[in-house]
Amino acid sequence: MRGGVVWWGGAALVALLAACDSPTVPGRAEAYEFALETTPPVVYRWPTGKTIRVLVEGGSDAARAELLRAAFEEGAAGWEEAVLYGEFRLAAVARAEEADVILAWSDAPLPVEVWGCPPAGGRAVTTFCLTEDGTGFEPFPLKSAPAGGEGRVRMLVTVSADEAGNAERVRRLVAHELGHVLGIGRHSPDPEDLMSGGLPVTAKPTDRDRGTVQILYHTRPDVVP
Amino acid sequence: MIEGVVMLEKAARTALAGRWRVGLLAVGVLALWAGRLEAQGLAVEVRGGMIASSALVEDAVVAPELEGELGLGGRVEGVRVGPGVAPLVEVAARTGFGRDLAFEVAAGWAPAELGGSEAGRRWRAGEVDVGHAVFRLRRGVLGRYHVRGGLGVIRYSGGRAGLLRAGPVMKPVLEVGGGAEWQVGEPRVSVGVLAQAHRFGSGVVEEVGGREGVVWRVGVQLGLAFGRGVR
Repeated sequence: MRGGVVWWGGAALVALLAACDSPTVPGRAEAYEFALETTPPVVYRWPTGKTIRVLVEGGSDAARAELLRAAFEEGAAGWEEAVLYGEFRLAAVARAEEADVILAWSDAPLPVEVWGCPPAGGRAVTTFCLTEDGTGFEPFPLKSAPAGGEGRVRMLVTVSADEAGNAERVRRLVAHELGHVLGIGRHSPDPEDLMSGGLPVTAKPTDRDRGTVQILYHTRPDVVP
Repeated sequence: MIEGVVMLEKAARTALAGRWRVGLLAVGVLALWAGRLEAQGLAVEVRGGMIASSALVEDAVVAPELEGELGLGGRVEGVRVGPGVAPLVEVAARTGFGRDLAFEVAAGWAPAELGGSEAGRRWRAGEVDVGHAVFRLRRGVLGRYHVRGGLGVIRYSGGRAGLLRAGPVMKPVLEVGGGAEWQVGEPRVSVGVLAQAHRFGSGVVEEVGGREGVVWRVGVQLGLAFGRGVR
């Protein structure tokens, strides 16, 4: 009798649990457009789960090199925390041959050729070029590579050397550019967002930035670097 | 090619493989320890096996109206994240009371890789350690067979990134199971199955308006049973 009560009670609990749903997260309701403003718009992003390898080329001045490295570390941590399920990692590497992305001061000598896809000016800019057929990214050829050895660098982030005297601005600019590296191809219309078009007022992704990158990394891309 | 990041990834994989070794070592140590408990009149069983789990979270990613506004119609994929099939190590001690009835206390551990999936694509979303402690009633049936059921707690912990970065999650767990034992010497050999159900939610899920739901775990086990007790 006693055993019967226990088993029937257990069965009732199982039935109760079976009636419940899985843990769920509703769709994000706050985000801005992130596709590149091309015709038609192009969604680019790295494959889900990818570790994006970044060479931080801080130059020979130790203080400036440390400033850029620290800005990268902070920016990378902010974006990694913005996603929920390890969709990407941003990791520093020591050699251009290992890098997917190069982050450098605008006056630093670069380990890649940029004549095919030169960076524009400005406080900070992320540069990449799509292939002619629009299905991929043109590599930045390594200066050190033998003929045919192109390396894997697909994006270049340059920060104006004029900004080096203002650490706070550098932190914000680098965090903003990392958003473009991840695949946010436009600017937020809200000036409070890290990805706004003006000088960012924060170095951390806001809720809208977070919602945007969360949606981006589960949107089928048109182009993968 | 030696790359810092590749080395890190390799280290993570090695750590996971190391957990398997720790698990096997734990089974061995527990088997030795079981002999001492046996001397105190308890039956002790050390079990190893595999366990699978349903998703820890199902994420719709984007609200339908926003998907339309962003011009992404049909391109956003829903996401499921959960532990992969993992090794399970468990030790249980039991004492009989009444005919064919025993009370059992068990603790188990399963180190798993956390995987994400969307539209058939999968990625590694981190690691998770799942530990459980359960009080069970166990009833012998038809000689060598038994059924069991009980209540306890289950605890999920993970790294500093991803689903469990807000800290460990501990919830009550309900369990049912059954199995059989064969006297092929001393200790006895057992096989069994178990099913667990518990609610799950994490701080990270709550941050984005998620809500708790039920997670199911199903496992198979092989065991070594020491001492006398209800089979």
